[in-house]
Amino acid sequence: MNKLKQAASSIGLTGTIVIVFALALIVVPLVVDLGNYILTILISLLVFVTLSESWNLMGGYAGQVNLGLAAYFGTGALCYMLVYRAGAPLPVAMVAGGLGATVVACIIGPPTLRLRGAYFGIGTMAVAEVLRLISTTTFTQTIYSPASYWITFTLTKSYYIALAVAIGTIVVAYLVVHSRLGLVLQAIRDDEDAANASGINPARYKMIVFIISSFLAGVAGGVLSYHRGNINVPGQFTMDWTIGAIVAATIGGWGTLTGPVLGSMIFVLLREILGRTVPTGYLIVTGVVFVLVITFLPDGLTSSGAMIRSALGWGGRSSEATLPE
Amino acid sequence: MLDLKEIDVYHGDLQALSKVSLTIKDKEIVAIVGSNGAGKSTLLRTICGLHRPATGSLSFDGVSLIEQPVHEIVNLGICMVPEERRVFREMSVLENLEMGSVIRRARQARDSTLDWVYEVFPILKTRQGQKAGTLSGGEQQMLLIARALMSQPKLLLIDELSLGLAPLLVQNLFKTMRQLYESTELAIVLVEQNVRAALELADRGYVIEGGRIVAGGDAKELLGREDIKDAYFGVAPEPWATRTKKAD
Amino acid sequence: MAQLPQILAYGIILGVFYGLVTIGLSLLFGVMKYLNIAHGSFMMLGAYASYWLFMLWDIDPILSIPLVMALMFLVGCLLYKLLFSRLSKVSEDVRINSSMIMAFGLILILDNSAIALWTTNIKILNTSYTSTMLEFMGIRIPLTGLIVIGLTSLAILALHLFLGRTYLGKSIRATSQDWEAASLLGTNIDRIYLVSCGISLALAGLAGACFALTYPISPDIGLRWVLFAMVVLVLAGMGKIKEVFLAGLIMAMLEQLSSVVIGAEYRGIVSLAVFILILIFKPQGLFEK
Repeated sequence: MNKLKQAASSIGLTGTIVIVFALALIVVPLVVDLGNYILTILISLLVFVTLSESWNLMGGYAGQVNLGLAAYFGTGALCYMLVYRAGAPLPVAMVAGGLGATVVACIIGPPTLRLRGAYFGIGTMAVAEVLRLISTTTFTQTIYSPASYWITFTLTKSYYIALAVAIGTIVVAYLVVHSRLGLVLQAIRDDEDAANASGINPARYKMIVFIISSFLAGVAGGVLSYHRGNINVPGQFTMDWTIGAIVAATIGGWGTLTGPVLGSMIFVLLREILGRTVPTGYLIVTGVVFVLVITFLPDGLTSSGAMIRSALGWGGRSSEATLPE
Repeated sequence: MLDLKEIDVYHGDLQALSKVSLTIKDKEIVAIVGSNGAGKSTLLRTICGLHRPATGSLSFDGVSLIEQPVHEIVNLGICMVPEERRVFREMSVLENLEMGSVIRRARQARDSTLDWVYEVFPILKTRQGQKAGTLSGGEQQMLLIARALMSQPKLLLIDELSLGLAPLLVQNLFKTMRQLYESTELAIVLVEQNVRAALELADRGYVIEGGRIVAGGDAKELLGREDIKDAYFGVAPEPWATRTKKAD
Repeated sequence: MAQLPQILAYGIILGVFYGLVTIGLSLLFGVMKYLNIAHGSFMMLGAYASYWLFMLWDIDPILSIPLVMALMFLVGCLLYKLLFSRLSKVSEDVRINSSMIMAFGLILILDNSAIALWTTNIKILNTSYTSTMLEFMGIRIPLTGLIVIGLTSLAILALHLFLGRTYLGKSIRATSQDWEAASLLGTNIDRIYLVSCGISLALAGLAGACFALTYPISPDIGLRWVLFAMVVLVLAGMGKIKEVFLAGLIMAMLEQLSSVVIGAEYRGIVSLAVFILILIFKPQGLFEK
């Protein structure tokens, strides 16, 4: 018992909660039949976790606001589906999705990342919208998964794929943050000029994390496509996914690892509760909550998660890198 | 007139000013000198309201400056000429000068102040339609001083007047400052890396290093002190050392 | 290529439109370094305001423009006081990012409120003159196009006089060049920001009113057009205010001409390609020396 306590204190309260939670997510569905409804919500939650964590790597840690996350999500979904239909095994198709998204990142990344943040925001938004427009004219019909899929699909399998990807994303994020790359990124975020002056090439590091981030978002696209079984291509490029990711990361606390998880939960919860009444109502409420949260952060990039945590009475130091005041 | 007591200023975690105390009287020229990074600019910027002191008191004619917004402090009569020759480059000389008389009492007296400023710096009248960005370094510096004068200040703060300017120009400017001082009710504070020239011009001086006031008193006395001479005059190959931050 | 003059004519109208939509955005960015990506959504509000003033109270959409602009000015001031002013103390990079994020939240609220209130169905504002086509030397030009050009020219003139001749206008220009130096001379930066925000949104309102005259309106126009505006902004050079109209014209011409080659649906690619090319070769915009 002592050893357990020791381990728990070294990870911190939030870390422990996260691990317990993750374990629960893995074990519980094996034991209890949660039913289709709850499993579907959980899958949706896990996709948002993946998306918001990947967005957070760029936005919260590197200080680059990606407004066109949908581009990578959609491209991932598309590439996954095409490769899967071509006969590749599922894991390969998933990776292909991620790689497809990375290709898009390699197009928009280099010109925008060597400039100030505004250009990246505009550029990513432009790419997402253009891809959406192209996809509306090119892919007018739904694309269906290959025959092998329909035989082997179960909701549980879909759930565990989503869970694996989500956990994998958090692990990757953790590794990035706690590596030299992570430190460099935070230096860039806090003062790009100073970082530049001390010999770091910001564009290169931003590009590296952009590739990682877009890859993860692309895989998330594959996960969702697997879950749905068929994709209406233009629908994967809409802003909804970007919105969810950004809102989740921001409300939950960007610049932390658990923040996006928390935010995703809040977002999905709001969606389920409010979505019943007025379809777009939950988006309005989300928007209001979102703006309120942003407004009370005078420095913009301070961890809102810390605020929420202190509001909930969770003090506790977490082991993850949080933003300095 | 201006009173600082035990001012501490921090940039984030770094302490930029430590227990700084000084006074400026109604009509005098005071030089604040020290090497690069000593805290001179921070001191001026704190007086103007761009930085808030963590502790200490700062008052002007009895009014505390600490919670005042920057434009209010200008209204009270303090005007700073910032370093790096920041004219409004895309605006004409005349427009730059007009921007100097934003506060009410300056706006009312604008025309007469403008005439006076043109007398002090005739070159500005010649160039009044030109874009400020096209002026030479020395002319821009004159424009900055003139612009600050348009606000009818009681206390003029000048940050690094000599930086990046040819020695002859600086001499002329300093001469003009002296004339200005003698013909008006102005108090002038000069912040300078060029210690000798500043102390030669001023009545009194303060030496600041590492965020602390290390010496203060009559300017001529300071000039004669051995430790000051060693610190600032001994090593430089010429009095007008090329410690410029930005070439013109 | 008998169509060429026709295409050019449409290009001019579109270009003027691009400029009009962008001018408010560039003003706000130039003065305050806020990238208000919700600018399009405010334009959408203006368009709907124009529409409903006409449908409910029979006010001609051209005549209602001063009212719409005044309303949007107030909204802009409110927006500044409640939200944007909180960002004024932070550094420029953080401010750009934070304003994008904040505006993002506004998009959520505005666009979805519009959907909730007015549904996603397209609405078309029809007056006696909105469908009129004029014929001139073989080119067909919609009357509304000329009206928009006329209104925009008025707006440009008014803006030019305001920024160039009035004290407030000059203070705005000075603040956009160097806010610190301006404040050290006694300019009340907070007030300048407040007015700039109001003017920015008023211009969005004007763009919306013109939009309602020319195109069908729906809640999603905001997002679509703010994208065009942002590309035009980059083209003109971020922070430049008057050059946006020329940049808008150039962009519109490029789009029009290329639509002949690759087809109208791929218009978006042109904007993106232009955007990427500019960023690679001349990120400061076309007009920087």
